[in-house]
Amino acid sequence: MTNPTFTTSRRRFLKAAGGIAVALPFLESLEYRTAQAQSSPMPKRFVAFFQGCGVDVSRFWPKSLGPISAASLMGSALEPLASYASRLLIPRGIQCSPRGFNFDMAQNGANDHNLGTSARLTAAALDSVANQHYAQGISVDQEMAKSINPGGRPALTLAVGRSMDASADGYISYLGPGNPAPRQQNPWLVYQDFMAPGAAPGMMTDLVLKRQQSVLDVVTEDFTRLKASPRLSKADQDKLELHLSSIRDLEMGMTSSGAIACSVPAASVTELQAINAANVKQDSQFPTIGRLQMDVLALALACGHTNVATLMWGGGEAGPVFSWLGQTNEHHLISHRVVDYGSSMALNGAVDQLHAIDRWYAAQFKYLLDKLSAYPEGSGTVLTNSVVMWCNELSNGAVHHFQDLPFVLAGGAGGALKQGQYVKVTKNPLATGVDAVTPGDDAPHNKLLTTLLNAVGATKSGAPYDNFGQFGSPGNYTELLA
Amino acid sequence: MSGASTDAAAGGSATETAGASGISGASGTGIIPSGDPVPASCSTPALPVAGTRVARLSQKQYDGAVLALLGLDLKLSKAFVADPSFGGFDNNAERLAVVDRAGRDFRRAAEQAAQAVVADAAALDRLAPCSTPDTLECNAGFVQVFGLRAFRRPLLKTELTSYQTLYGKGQDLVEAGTRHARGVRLVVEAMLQSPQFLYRVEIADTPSGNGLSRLSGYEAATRLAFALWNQPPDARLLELAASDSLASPDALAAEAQRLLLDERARPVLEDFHRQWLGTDAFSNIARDATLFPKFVPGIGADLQEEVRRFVSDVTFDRSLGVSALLTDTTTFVNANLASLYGLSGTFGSSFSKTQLDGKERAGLLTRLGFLAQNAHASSSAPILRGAHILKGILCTELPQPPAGAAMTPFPPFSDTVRTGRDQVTELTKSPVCATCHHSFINPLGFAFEAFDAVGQQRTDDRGFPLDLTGTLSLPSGDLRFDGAVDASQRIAETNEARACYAKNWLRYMYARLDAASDACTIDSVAQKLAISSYGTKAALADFARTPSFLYRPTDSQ
Repeated sequence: MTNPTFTTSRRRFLKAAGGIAVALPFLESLEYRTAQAQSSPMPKRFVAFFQGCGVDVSRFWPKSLGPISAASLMGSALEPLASYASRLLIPRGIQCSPRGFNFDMAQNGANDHNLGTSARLTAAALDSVANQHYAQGISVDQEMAKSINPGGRPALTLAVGRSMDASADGYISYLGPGNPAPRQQNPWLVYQDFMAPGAAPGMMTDLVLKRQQSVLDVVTEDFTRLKASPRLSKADQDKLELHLSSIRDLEMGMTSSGAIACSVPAASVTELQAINAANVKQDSQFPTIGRLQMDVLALALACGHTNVATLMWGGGEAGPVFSWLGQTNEHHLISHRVVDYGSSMALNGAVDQLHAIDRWYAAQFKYLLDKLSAYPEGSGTVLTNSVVMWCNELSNGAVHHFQDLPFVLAGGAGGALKQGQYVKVTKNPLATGVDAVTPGDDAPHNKLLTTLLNAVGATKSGAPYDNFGQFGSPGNYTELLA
Repeated sequence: MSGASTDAAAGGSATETAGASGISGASGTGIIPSGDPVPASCSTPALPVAGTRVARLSQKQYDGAVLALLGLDLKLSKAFVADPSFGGFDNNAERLAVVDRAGRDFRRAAEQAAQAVVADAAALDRLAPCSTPDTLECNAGFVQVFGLRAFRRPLLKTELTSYQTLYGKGQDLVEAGTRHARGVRLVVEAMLQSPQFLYRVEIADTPSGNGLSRLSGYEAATRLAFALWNQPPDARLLELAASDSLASPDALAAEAQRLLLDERARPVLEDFHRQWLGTDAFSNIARDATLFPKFVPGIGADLQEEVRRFVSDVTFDRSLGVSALLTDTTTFVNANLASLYGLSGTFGSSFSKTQLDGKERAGLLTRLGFLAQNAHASSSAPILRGAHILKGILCTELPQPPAGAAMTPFPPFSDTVRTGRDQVTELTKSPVCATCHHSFINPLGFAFEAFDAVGQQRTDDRGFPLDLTGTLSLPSGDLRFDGAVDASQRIAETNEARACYAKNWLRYMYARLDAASDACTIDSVAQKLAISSYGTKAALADFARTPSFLYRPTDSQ
């Protein structure tokens, strides 16, 4: 299925702008609020919201299976999401596939954090190249992007904070086997990448756009000539085509779903411009950069820049230190509940600190849902047509557990998924207690990824997906479908 | 040396390819000492590896190219989305691609570079002198000269025409400046986005027999210059390319010698060691401030700077190699570091050269950065130190720890568990752990127990005496040592350490993972690294001399 989209090219913009120097007045007329766009089927979208180090499993889940309400979230880490109780879908009892602790011989020397991070969106084994342990398969976001993104553009891959960039801990999104998608850490640069003409002062004037077009014309000739060389392999030609497509947006046009123009309010532009690029990964910037990334991410979805995105917060085996919650230890250390990795001395209050972190992430998740539901679309909002998945590398981080993983979905993907339900997908009885994790091998997470691919209407050679990833089992979790 | 069979396999005439692995003693009077040729027993000749014909510049190479072409050190890659590392290095030719945002990063950078160079009158005059404005001479002259430098080969006629036409459009498309400056700006903006600039394009190799094809002179010059300078070929290399004077491994090795003596090689040597040693991670080290008040906030940058200066001094200024890196006592400190090292004397915020006490400290493994990086927040970490040395310095493949191993708490201190060494020994005593820990990881880590969580010297552990002795089992034999200086020296004498260094350099210099056919090259360079006068630069000149560097496998039809 292709989404009928409404396209305006920068080239068309140039024609419209003519000789007028600064084209701000034109922007209004370039907003694509047409009856046609509003009556079209809305694009479906997917966002993965990822964090590391597991959760306090004793206080994470709603009180009881079945309908989710504000009351059933009370006291849990999900309490900040109370106003979205009717929009959540929480599957329970899902385990990582491949399984952790090397049960599936898929880790090739990688540790549990590497696996939880690399496999979360890929359900693939890890490679053993020089201790980097990248996933040996494409991730679900990039797989979706191939069929539901305009022009097959890769998913937008945003990151907040520091991680181990040179190893598997640094990446959740994979363009292909062993090929992690770069981490976009600076929301101002992300925004510049798709903002509408005139969306920031002094940038993208009609003269700039005309110049870029003339340059692109010459550069495209060079690409065409080089690609014609019979010496190049198919892979090399694909590489050049991928490159050219990344700058051809001038030519192809910024594609809009019809909801809104690709610009944030002036105050937000000022805040984005004020970002100190040298500091974006610092712990002290974590909440601010996270919020701005979500602003830009929501806009990118709403205005049709992308239909698929990932947002990776921190990373396994790392931070940040949540100093704004009054904490002084790294998230990883707290998750292990010790004062130091070299010590067996318990960290006092570690579980409460962990719970506070879980609640903080719930509040960030709510912020993203707020942003998405603030964009009207059709008879609902952008959130109505999206599915946003909060996921984690581990369940109980203290023991690196890979079973009973926390997944919280919101949105419903335009009616494809149940809403307001807490659903047990494993046949095993749910465990309770401080460190208890529901065991079982019957609910692999690859099946959830398959379900999500189909929920957003992604297809492979025109057909729905049956078994995404390299481990787990085929089919959809039908109990999650509306 | 299996010269005959290798020559046959490596192809071509004897004058065109080197013998055996392609490595021989540096000939003649090169200033870089190479030592005597060491015979290598090669069963696998160093055949070139078929790889991509369009290798994207690394981000360092992009910055280096802008610097070389425009004379402005803009470091525009700081705004680029970071490339993942492959096999430990961020310059892998097979993997580097331009995906989505990266294309716009290159566009923004090209726009900024073009704008910057025409805004700087002196830079513009250096780049594109023009005595008679508004003439075709200024246009065509600039396009031709800059095109040769940017594309690393003469422009095709069609390219000349396109870019000259673009120059002419500058008058309408650039808001300010002379007609010449506007034209130059537009041409620079475009050429810096051309695939001919952003990729090392290798499509002009010609068959030279026995399944090998030799790169064109321009392609060889480009490979060499980017490998050793992270910059495009200079005027001399372009001249040699034009006269087809880079047609033999010896010719390339001779030019490699010249490049390696040039100051432009220094940042490349520094960049390799930064990535190999993982010094970027120093900025994430956090230690308990009450226990370690001298480990001040922001000291990570100082730790990085010490290592940068040290490797630069050893490998570039003194032309030494991995052995000296592991044993030399020269270092560079500021007041922050001098205080942690316990050095007497006056030190300020800037760095000065000094010597460490050779009885306490030797090379890289006894420096603050390595020791602090491989430690816990409040204590040393023998397991982390041992594992880092095994994996990073000796290229040992360690099997995965059993499930849950990393979460097993250390045993509490007691009458029998008195020191960190006791704790680690107790923790790893079960047979499943002991296999790796008792013969490999622990003894190496214990040798460094005279250094605490921030690398400061200590004489006891919790008031108990230190035991720094150990034995490491390596394929080349058992290493017995007592303390960090002794262990560093023993490690430096192993073939494992030399081969590991050579393997990492091969990955970096060839911009690809090592292949089975590289074994002989690695082995040969490793053996020569045993000679103290044969340093890193000599090894790189030898890497430039292999058939791998000048040839590609001939395309099958």
